[in-house]
This record gives sequence, structure tokens and C-alpha cells, in this order.
Amino acid sequence: MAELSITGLGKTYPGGVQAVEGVTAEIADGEFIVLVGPSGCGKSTILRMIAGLETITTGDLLIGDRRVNNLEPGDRDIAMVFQNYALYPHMTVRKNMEYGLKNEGLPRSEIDARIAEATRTLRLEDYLDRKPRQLSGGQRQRVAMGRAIVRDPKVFLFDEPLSNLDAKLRTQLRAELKALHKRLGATFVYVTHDQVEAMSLADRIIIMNAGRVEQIGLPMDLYLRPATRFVAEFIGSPAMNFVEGTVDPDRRSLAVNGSHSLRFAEPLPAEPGHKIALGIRPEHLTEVPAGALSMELEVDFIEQLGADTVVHGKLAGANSPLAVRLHGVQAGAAGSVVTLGCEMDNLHLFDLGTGQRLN
Amino acid sequence: MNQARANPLNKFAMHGALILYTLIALFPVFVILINSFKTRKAIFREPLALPDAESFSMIGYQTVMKQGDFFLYFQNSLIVTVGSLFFVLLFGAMAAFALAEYRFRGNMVMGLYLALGIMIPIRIGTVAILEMMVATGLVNTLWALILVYTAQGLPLAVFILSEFMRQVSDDLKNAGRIDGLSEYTIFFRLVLPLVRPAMATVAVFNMIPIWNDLWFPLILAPAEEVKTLTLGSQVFIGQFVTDWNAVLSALSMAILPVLVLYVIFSRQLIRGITSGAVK
Repeated sequence: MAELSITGLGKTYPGGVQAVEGVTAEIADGEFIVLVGPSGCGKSTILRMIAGLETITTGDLLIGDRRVNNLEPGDRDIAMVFQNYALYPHMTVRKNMEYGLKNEGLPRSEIDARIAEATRTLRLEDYLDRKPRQLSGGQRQRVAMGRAIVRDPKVFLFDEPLSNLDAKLRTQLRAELKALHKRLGATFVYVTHDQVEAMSLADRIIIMNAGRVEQIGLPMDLYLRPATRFVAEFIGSPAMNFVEGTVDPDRRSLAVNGSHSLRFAEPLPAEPGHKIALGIRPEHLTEVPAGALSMELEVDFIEQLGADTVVHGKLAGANSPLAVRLHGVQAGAAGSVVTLGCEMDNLHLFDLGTGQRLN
Repeated sequence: MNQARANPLNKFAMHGALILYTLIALFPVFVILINSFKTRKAIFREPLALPDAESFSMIGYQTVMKQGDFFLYFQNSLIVTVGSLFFVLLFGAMAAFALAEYRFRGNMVMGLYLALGIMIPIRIGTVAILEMMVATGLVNTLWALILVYTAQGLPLAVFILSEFMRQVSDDLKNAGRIDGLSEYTIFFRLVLPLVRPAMATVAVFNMIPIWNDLWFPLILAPAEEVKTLTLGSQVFIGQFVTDWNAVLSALSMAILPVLVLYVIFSRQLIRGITSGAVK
């Protein structure tokens, strides 16, 4: 079995920089896990520690029931796909795929069978005798995947494999990756900074910030109940709106910016006097003023996306920027005022200091 | 760049300059070649004239073939040059890989130490080298020369190659590690093929001084059976009489092997220079 067990994993560089701190996660056999976060959050470092390309400073790493902390990358039963493909430039596609296997001393027939299988899966039959530089970006990344597949590893590691491709190809390869995961049934660990990729691919997402895990959960959990303000901001596009303020004594209104305050139909699940950040997703604001709260938006500009219209503006009376996502093509003019409403269930409350979720 | 190339005047000036330089560079070689096929009298009467029916003579070549063990000298020079180049490239590339790839204490200092040899001529240490060779019994062996030339070539080799090896993508080496390749396999099968143009550069830079060197053969290996070509040719240069036919013929023949080696390496060299441009 190929479950991956990470306990208290940490990485400190010789200079004293702490890249990763106390990361703990249990990854089930056959699970598609996506590590996501802004650049520099330590997600790639974790992947490289799993691969064995970085030494582990603290903690334990188990693949199956084997502790692999001190094993060489080649002995860990893993395969990795890199952002810039990392194909051997002086070898043909076939050589690229078989080189590792040959080195392991596998019999010729076995190597050929595996390559045939992988090339069929990835539709690379016509390119076997080409050199990497004769291939397009998408084809190169498929070859890199092929090189991983033929190793028949327990765990596949992906380090932003789609970042160098154009948007259309990315969507296509995303679907192929998902299908590949289904077919192989192996454990996938995938690093990306793109939240759309994370949401669409992952069984579970590990979202990281500044070397620590912010939240581990199903994509929809992260979207519907983000554990911290960071997660709330990171997942979803356009990003979640935040209005900062102090809860009034009756807990039914939020004092924003001294003079202005927002009134709620139900009491807020927070202590009076508590400074909070109120989060509302752009798509959860409606033009119907019904619901738990009504607020006014001064329109700055409008983005027509076809399927949706995103209205950007400011909360009237306060200076908080606010975006609303409306269905279909909507007309509107800069400077006009729109009244918006939102359901109580769609409000996210975070402590202003710690960023932890309150409701 | 494109505009400069399209302008015929620029093109003319560029080619003119290159042709002029080529003529100047090749002129001595040309003089040696034509005079090696002339009689002694003709050499002195009209040094710049081409050999004609009257002045044509193979006497120089005949002297060289007869006198002295010319083929042995040839062989010695070739062994020393190729052997030295082999060790310079092997050890230079290995040291360069270590400096470029691994982070260890003293990496920087080690790099500087190895680069120091570029600035200090090895001939300063001739006396010490001779003493060492005497102590180890290597005097009058080809090994003495190979070892000295290897030492002489290493600093520049390490300097150039480590710079190139730093440019080989880390992901590529890591992909090899994940494929289960040993560090040696990564070095020999992944990195070396990619820095081949740099290796060719180092080889060309080292080859000519080694082939042409007179100093160390004279001091470390003057015995008849280990004489190199340059040293062997000296027998024709006397204090009072010099057999110019023989000297010029010997020099003409000495050009050939080094020319062949250069052609082999320079193809790599050009490929390396252009591959960066059109990538």
C-alpha cells in the first residue's frame, strides 16, 4: 500500500531560514492530494523532501509503512514530474523513458512492455524517436509523465507541471491528469500555486502559508468553511470580500469605520466589542435586498465576462473595496449605487487579530 | 543584428577584416609549407617564391625520415598531448562538477585555490617539479610530461567547466536522481554530454601549448626515446649550421595531427556556440 504519512515535518536551511515547520498529514493510498499556497510558502520544499531531494530536518516521512527519511530518491519508489519538464535533452523520447528502468536492470521485454503501455496512455507513439527539443510544451510534459508512469511508482509527485503551458493546454492536460489518476489508482501529490488547478484536481487540498499548514480538507470544505482568513482569501476568484469592524453590544450590527455600520437580521456569532473581519464571497452577494443583511455598493467599474458580470466598487460610507459577481450580462454604470443582500449562511467571520474562523 | 547583417557595407567590412586577419595568421604557416618543398639555395634566394620545377625538392623530408627517430617523436608528442588532454578533461570536469553541484564547507575557497593556477605560470615551479620527478624516478618518462601538463591545464579547465555546469538545470540532475541514477552516472551520462562544447573549448585551449611546448620536454624528458616532436626537431638547428630543409619539413608535418585534433574539437565548439543562440 502506498499511503503517505507525514509527521511533524520541518526544514531549516543552514542559514537558519525555516522553510517548513511542523507539517503533519495523512495521505491515503490512491488519493490525489494538492499542496497549494502562494510562492515561498514551502509547498515545493515539502514535495522535494518527499522526493528525497532535500534533507529532512525534523519529523518523519513514511511511504507505506517504511520510514524513508534517509533513503536516496531512487530507493523511495516515487516518480516526479517537474515544472520545466527536466527531460534529458540529448536523448530521444524512448531513451528518456527507458533510461531509469535500464539503470535498474529490468529485462528488455519488461521495459518495452511498460513503454508501449505508457505511450499508448499518453498518445506519444508517433514521437518516440524525437528529441525533446522537437516537441511542444504539452508533448514534453506528457513525455515527463510517461517517464514517471513507466517507473510504476507508489507515489507520483508533481511540481507545478502545468505552469509553463498556455491556458488552453493546461485545461486539457488537467483533464488528462485526472483521468490518469483514475486509471493508475496511485497516490498523487501535486504542488501548484493555482487555486483553480487545486480545486479541480484534488481529492483533498493542503493549503499552506509561510511554511505552515493552514487547512487540510476537501475542496468544497475549503470553499464553504475556510478555517482561516488566509484560506478564505486564497480560494475563490474573484477573492472573498472583507469588511473589518467591531461587533456592537446588541451583536446585530457591525461598526465599520466609526460612523457607518452594517445591520444584520440575526445576531452575529461573536462577542460584543470583538474586532472581526466579515467575509462574503462575490458570488454570494445578490441584487435582491432580502436576506440577513443589506448593504450599498458604489460602483467603480464593471467587468463583463460573458457568463458573469463582476462589479467592483466600495461599500457606501466606508472605504472597503467590494466585488460582486452577478449571473449573465448585467448593465451598470460607474458611480451608480447598487443595493446588495446576502444570506446569513454565507457570512464568514474571522478574528481580526489571529485570522481564525469564529462561526 | 538583422539590420547589421543586411547592410552590404557592414558585411563587406566584416568579411574584409576577417580575411585580413586570416591572411596574417596563416602567412607564417604558408611560408613554412612552401619552403619545406624547396632546395636550400632556393629557400635563401627567394623565400616567398612558390616551389617550381627547378627549386622543388623533397630533401628536407628525406632528411627528417632518415635522421632521428621522427616517428617516435611524433608518437611521443601525440601520447603526451592526448594523455594530458584526457586527464585535464576528466579531472577538470570532475572537480568542476563537485564545485558546481555540491554545497560543502570551503567550496568557495577551493574554487579560488584552483583558479589561482590560471594566474601563476607553472614554469615558476620548474626546479621544484624537476626535484619531484627525480625523487619519484619519473625523469625521462612520458608520465612526467603528462602529469605536468595535466597540472598546468586543470585550473582553466575547472574554471570554465564549473561555470558551464552551473548552467545545467538542477531539475535535470534531480530527475536523474529520482530515476535512481548514481552521482557518477549523472555526471558521465547527463552532465558531460551537455557541457561538451565547453569541454571542446578547454581541449582546444590546452592542446596547442602542450603540443608546442619545448620547455618541459627539454628539462624533464630529454632522453632520445621520450623526445617530443618540438624537441626532436631541435637536432636540425645547430649552433653554426642549421638544416633549414629538415626543420621546415619537420614543422610542416607537426602541423598535421594538431590540425586533425582541432577539426574534431572545433565542430563541437561551433555547435556549442550556435546552440545557445538558436535555442
